[in-house]
Amino acid sequence: MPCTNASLVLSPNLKNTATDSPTFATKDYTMIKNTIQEDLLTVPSETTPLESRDAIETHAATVTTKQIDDVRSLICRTVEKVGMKISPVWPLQDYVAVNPYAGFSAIEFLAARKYLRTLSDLELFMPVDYYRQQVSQGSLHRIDIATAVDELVDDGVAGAERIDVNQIVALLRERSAPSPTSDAEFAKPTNPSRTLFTIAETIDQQIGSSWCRVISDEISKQCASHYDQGQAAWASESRELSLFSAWRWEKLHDRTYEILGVSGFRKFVAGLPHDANATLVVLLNRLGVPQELWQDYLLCIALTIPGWSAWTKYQHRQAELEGRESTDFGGLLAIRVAYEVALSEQLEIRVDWESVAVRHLANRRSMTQPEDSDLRRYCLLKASEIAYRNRLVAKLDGSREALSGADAESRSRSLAQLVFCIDVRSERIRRHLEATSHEISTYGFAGFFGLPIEFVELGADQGKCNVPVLLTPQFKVFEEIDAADATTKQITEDRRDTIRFLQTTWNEFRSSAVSMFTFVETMGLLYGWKLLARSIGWARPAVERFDGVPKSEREKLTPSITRISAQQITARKQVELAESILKGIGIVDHFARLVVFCGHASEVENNPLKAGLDCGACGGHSGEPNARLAAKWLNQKHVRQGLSARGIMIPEDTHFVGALHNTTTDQIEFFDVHDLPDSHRGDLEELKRLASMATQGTRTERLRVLPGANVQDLNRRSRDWSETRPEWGLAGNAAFIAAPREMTKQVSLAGRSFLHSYDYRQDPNFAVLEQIMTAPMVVASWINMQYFASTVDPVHFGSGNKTVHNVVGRFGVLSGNGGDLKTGLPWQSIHDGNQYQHHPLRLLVALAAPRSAIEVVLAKNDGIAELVSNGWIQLLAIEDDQFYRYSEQNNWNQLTAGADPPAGG
Amino acid sequence: MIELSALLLAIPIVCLLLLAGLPSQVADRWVGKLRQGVPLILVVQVLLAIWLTLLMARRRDSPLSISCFEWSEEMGIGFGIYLDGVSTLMLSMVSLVGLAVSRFSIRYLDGEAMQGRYFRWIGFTVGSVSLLVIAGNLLLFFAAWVMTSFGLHQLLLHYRHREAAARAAWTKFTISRIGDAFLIGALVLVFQTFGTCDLAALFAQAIEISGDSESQVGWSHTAIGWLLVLGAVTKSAQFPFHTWLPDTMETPTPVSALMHAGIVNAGGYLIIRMSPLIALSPGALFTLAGIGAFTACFAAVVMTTQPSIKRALAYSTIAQMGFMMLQCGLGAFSAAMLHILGHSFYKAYAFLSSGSLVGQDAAITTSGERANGQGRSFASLFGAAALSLVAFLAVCFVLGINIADKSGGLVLAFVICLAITTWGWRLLSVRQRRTSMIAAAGAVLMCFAYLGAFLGVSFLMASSVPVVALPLSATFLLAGICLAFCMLFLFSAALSLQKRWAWMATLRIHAANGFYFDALYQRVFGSLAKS
Repeated sequence: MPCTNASLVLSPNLKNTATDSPTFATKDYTMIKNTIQEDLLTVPSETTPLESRDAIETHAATVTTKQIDDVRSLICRTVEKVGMKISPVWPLQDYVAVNPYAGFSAIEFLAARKYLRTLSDLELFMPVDYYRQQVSQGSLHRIDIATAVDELVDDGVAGAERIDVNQIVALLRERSAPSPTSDAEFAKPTNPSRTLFTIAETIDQQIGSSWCRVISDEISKQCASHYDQGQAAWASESRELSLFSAWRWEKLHDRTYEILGVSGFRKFVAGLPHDANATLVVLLNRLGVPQELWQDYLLCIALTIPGWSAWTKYQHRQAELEGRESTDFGGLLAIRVAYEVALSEQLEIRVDWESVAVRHLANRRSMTQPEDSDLRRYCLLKASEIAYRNRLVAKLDGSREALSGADAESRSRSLAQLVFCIDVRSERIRRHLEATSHEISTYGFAGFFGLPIEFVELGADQGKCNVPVLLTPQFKVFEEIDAADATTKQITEDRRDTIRFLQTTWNEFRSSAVSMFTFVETMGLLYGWKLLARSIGWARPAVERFDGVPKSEREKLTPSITRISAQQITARKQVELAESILKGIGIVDHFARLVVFCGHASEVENNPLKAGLDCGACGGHSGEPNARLAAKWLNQKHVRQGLSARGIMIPEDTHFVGALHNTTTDQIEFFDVHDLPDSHRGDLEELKRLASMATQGTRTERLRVLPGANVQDLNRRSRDWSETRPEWGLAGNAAFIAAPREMTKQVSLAGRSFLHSYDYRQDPNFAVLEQIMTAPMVVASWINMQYFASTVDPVHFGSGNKTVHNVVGRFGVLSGNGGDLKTGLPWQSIHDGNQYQHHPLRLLVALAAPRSAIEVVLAKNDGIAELVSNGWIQLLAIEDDQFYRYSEQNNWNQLTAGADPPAGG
Repeated sequence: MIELSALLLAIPIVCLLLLAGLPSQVADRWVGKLRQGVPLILVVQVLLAIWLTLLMARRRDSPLSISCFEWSEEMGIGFGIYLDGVSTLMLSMVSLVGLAVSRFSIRYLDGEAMQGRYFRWIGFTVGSVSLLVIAGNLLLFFAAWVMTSFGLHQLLLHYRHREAAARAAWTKFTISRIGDAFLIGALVLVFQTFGTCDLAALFAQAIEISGDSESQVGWSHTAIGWLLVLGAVTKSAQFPFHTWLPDTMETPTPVSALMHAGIVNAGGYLIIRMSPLIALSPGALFTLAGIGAFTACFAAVVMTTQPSIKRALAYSTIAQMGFMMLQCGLGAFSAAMLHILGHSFYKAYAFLSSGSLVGQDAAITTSGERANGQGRSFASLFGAAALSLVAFLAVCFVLGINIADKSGGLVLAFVICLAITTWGWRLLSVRQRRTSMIAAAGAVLMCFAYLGAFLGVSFLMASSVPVVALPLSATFLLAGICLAFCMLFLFSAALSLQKRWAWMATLRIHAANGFYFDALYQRVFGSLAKS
């Protein structure tokens, strides 16, 4: 049944037809049968065609249904296993950090690197030059390297005892190469440990062609159209189908690949099965890839287009949440393999897979036996981590002495307690806030404040998930105009609706095929003015959030708490949630007069990657709705009564307030202050005054890393449409500290630490500890690994240079014209043009908790234990003022803190 | 005073052109000075250009021609500038876009190792375009034409390690050289025929010829017209020389902005500038109208299928250039000029703000879809059509414009009415008083904006462009063009109404691939880029 009948494709029901079902269709079935037969028969290649035909007939019966079932389950399992190695990527609107190596946490860091490098050019180490610079800047010393060697031996890394510190020092003395530039991503990597290549790569190496680029452009074209979320007015008719079916149908007509040199490609595609997995079986057999290589070969294929692989993985995730099934990841692999097979058949290239298999499998087996050169570089990574750890430990150790002196803290009612997100950027503003007055104390907690909400803006049909991606929203929160009567609400909603409608029609007028000519002739000259105004910095686009809301009402536009109880969030549940929030933060007594929940968001212009600078705990959105809702939640009378029944007494005169920390300008804005009783107005004014002092202090501190003449320059960055470095985001993140604030209060952590409030004395059965280790710590590690990967491997896991970003389908960015979908951070987010602003260190987790308690949590959670024992994070326990390192052999080694605190930090 | 201002203009332009002599290493070392200096020079140039435009508006009937360092006065070879309404308007636009682009690049490319080199070539390229605009003789014009292409080539190769960047740059380079060949041919013929390269002298002769009896129009006049038209077609990315434009996204966004706003329309400028000469070969002009109309429709259809913002913008530029060529071909030079200005400002802005797309649209698509495709009846379509027609005619009447009088006026008016109808249809379909009022007011305002701007531009340049009388045989062409735009209208309506026919699915596949011209060029030029 050739699928040329367009009417069929156009029918929306097609996705339910057999062509798209996860099981094989009849035709696919026979096709697999045939390939397996051929496969079985072509092994003795000397047989003449005539003989082989006879053979097919005689052996036809030998291929049983069972064999086909076997191969089917094999390919399904293989695709699933390969898929587990790939991390998803989120669309730009709710971009969150993802650890691209999450699929490898079950393997040792070093072994994972080696494995990946046998079948791709991924890199997990910085070049040695980077460490040369570290040495010359004085942030890395010989003693760190020596310690690193000792610790590697402790960790039981194979061959660690062979490492000679002198050799590494000698290596660092060699002359350094020129520093990397923004287009370094196009430098050809050398990778001697690679034993598995795609056919396109092999061909490109041999004849200097660029088939890899051609194929990834073709795939990019297909995926971009298929997943387009509204860029193209003429959307693909087949986007309702699965990725593979859509591709298969479109390639029956598309002549591009033929024109580029692979003649007969349409015919080739017509001969493919309708199912992605069946196609994989047929094609792998046609290539002659032995079954033991399938998994590695397909992973190799997936890693040639890591961006789109990650995107199809995201499709799987979304489908799962909606209770559907997605085949797109397997489909993508099948598509990539199809281009490969067609190419090899066109050029008549044969790969001797048997010998490839022998070499590759041997190479794979040696995965746990690192080579000396790799060990030396690993040692350098480790040394730089130790250098950072020593500085941190020395600081914390020093602060303890300072603390014991100033312990005579008055227990009178203080002015305010402010709860910030654990984000590393909160550390600076918290420190400066505390410095303004001893009446202020701050806490760190995940920035969604424990409220798993879907936030629906006024008049919107869909909400945004304001939760960490590990969780799913439990209820919807609607934005409303506070205290407005029903008609005012209706009028505002209508007005907003009209404005949005006019915008839509205006956009259509601007870009439709027939009216765009008239648009530029009537409106074009106005753009001359806009161009000038934006260049000078006069104009800025209107804030969509306030469309249709009059200026006087804007402050009252707020997440409403009234419609929550209708969603099975009973009064009892509200109390329970409130209790877990307060216990999680660690405020259960000594409430101040004002308790502020302070979310955070960035303020930038013209930046498609903006969500990456917003609150990760709120799914890449602003933390404002959660902060405001949390305050309202705890201001409710019935919640407070319920809490007091559970032993948490909140004084009558304690008031909760929502606020937002603008991480670009470091201003703090307070919300819903009209709800505040008059008795607290003075307190709030005082708090605002202190906050603006803290703002000044934080800005001054940030000027050191964000070169600019003055503080105004920071504000300019938030409004400038040409700014590529509005702020540093989470660059520089290196540590996650869960401890009472007293332990970190006295020192500057330079905006490099995630700070989670935790006091084990208030956590008798260590439930909070477990929660911290399984949720915020993992999220912090994801962020850390995203920055790590974007720095060490910008080619595969960074999004390249911002200046050539091209927003595609409104969900992602391409670099230039085509190529793979870009994931991760751009060069401008980790490098300031002279040096790296992010230093790739694996997250140092410091937990102020008994070692035994930590061990219990690790024993209960395999996933976390893997991260630690395979070296994806480093764990430190702080117990009785001593620091203990958890080695990869799962035992505790006491650190001699403060032994060698080098200057700087 | 005007002479002095015109001579002062040489200072910023010469400064910009001298940047080419600065070695890249030095430029990179002096990046701080360069990125302050180039925008500063352009501020001076913008002010001078606007001042000159105002002066020109006062003495509009006499263009200003100044020559200096002349090698041969009679032949018009040397350094000379020619200022009239056309060149001052164009110069103001180019300077303003150049200023915005260079200002944008200060922060946008901050920290790039080669920012100095970048500013060196941005400055040189803007300088070359400025020189092109004010050149007083054909030889200088041609030199500036080639210099522009050379400067742009350096900018397209800013990230020289990107394979696709090299391929696009070399494709463009080759097509530009084809265009150069046409221009050289035209130059030689002009010199042989008229004995001078000086624009003022040339135009005087050309006007004399067209004013006289027809017998004087020889084959060489016709050939000159054709060669100039072909040169313009290659420069302004007209079909089939268009594919390099969408492929040049491998270079920083502000370069795209400059290219789409300040360079690609050089072909249109060539036609408008040389219109007294080209008017002598009406056949070439009508062919240009045909090519333009085809390019406009072709690229507009391809544009609607592109999923990435920059490629969609590029195809939109091709279509817009096609429309502008269509206007030139119809002899509506003032309308074409207005189109160049409006399109340049809009496209520069669209490229520079192409990163804002995500937030903007997220806000719009989450809401306000209530009237999407609802109640789009024929009644509201007729209402919208009547509204646009009445609004247009009324505004014409108020401003005292007889649209049938203008060359190509009827066709262009038809396109405008179609466009306003598309917009009005959406609004009228809602059947609410408020939106209907907005539709009516909007239609009138748009007509005012268009016709007012048109009057302003034609006031400035009326004396510089000839009046082309369309022969009767052109009626078929005009009818064809109107029909093509009707088809575009139906196509747009089908898209916006979510109406699909089966054959559209396959057509979309071909359109999404740009009807394979991309792939063909890639095959041809892929090897070239490597060598």
